[in-house]
Amino acid sequence: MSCREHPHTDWRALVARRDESGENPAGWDEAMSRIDACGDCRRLALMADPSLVFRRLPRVETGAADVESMRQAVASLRRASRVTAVDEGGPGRGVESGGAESGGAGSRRGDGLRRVAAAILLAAAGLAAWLAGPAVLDPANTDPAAIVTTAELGAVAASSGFTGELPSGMAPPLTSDLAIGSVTSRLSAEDLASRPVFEGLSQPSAADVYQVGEEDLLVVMVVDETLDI
Amino acid sequence: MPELAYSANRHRQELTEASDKELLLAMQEGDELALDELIGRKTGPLVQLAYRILGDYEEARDVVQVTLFRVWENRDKFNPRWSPNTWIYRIANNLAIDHLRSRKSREKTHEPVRQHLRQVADSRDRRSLTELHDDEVMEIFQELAAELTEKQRMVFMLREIEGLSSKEVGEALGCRESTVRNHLFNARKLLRREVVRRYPEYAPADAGEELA
Repeated sequence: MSCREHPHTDWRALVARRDESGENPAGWDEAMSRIDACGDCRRLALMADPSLVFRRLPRVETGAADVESMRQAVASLRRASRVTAVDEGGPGRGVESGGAESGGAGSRRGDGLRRVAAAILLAAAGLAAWLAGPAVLDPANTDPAAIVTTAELGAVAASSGFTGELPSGMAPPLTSDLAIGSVTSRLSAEDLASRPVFEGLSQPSAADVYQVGEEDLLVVMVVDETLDI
Repeated sequence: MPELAYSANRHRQELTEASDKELLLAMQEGDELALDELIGRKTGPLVQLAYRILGDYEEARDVVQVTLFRVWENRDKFNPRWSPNTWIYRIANNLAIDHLRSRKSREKTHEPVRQHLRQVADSRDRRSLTELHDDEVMEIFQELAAELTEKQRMVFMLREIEGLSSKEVGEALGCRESTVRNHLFNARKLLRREVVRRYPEYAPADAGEELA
C-alpha cells in the first residue's frame, strides 16, 4: 500500500509496526512529514489508520497579550485567595487552594493577616515620618517608644512583596514623634544614634531600590515602576 | 550618587535565562517575578493541552489560570528531582479532567454535535477524511474521544498530538511506559473503529472492510 511517487513507504506495514511496538518505527517521521504534501500519501495513510486525521486538530495560537492577561488573571486569583483568608479570619488556605492539595508551607500561614497588619503599620509609619518632617532624619531623635525595629522592618519588607536582597546594615529603625501601637524598640539610644534612618518599604509594586549615603545616614529609595524618573 | 541595590527589570532579565526548575525553586523563595516568567513560558502549551481536552478555548483558559495559580500555591511541594513539565502537566491534566467530569454531568449527550455534523455531511457531496476542515476534525474528535477512558484520552493527546515520548507521558500521568503503550493502542483502535462506524461518509474507501 504505497503511493506511486513514494513507493518505498508502505503505510499499512508502517502502521502495523507502530501498533506492535507502541513506538514510532524507523521511517515513520519521514513518512509523516510527507503526509500533508502528498495527496496520495495522505489518502493511503488515512486508509491504514483513520485516527491519523486527528493530527490535524487545530492549534491555538497564544500571543503576548494572552500571556499578559493570564498573568493578571493569576494575580487576581492570588489576591482573591489572600482576601478570603483574611475574611475567614484564619490563616492559610484561600479559595483555590482549598482542593485536594494543601496551601503550602507553614511559613505562609497567616500571610494575609500579616500583610494587612504590615501595610497598616507602614502606612502609619510613613504618615508619621511625613508629619515629622526633617526631624525624622535626625539620628538624635531616638524616642524608643516610637521606633520600628530592624527585624520588624525586615518582616514588613518581606511581607509587602519585596524580594530583593537588602545590603548589609540596611534594616535600620524608623523614628517618629508618634507612638506606633505596640511596635516598639528595645534598642538603646546609643544603638539608635549609630544607625541610619530608613524610610518606607511598603510598596508592593516596587521595581527598583536605590541607596545613597554613608554610615551615619543611609537613604534608601523604593521606586514604583510606574513612576517615570 | 544613588546606587542601584535592586532592580526588578534586571531580575526579570536574569529569570529569562533560568531553567524551569530554577524558576520553581525561586518561587519557593517567594519570587513572584519567577512566577511571571513561568506563566510566560507555559501559557501557550498549557492552553493548547487544555483546549484539546476540553474543546473550548475559554474553558481551556480558565483551567490554565487555575493550574498556574495552583503551581504557585503548591510551590513548596515541588521536588527538585521531578521534571517541572511533568509536575505542571499533571496539575493541568487533573484540573481539566475534573472540569470535563463536571461538564459531562451537565451535558448528557453529544447528540447535538452528531446531528450538526450529519446536516453538514448531508448538505455536501461525499467527502473523505482528507478534505475535512480543521474545526470539523475537532468536533469529530470531541465526540469520539468521549468514548475513551480518561487515561486513554490523555495518553492519545500527549503522545500522538503533543508529541511527548512514552516516558514523559508516563511521568505526567503517573503510570508505567508499558501502561502508556497499552492505553495508546486501545485508544487508536477505538478511534479507528468509531470513525468508520459513525462517519462512513468520511471514512476511507476500504477502511470499513479493514476494520470491521
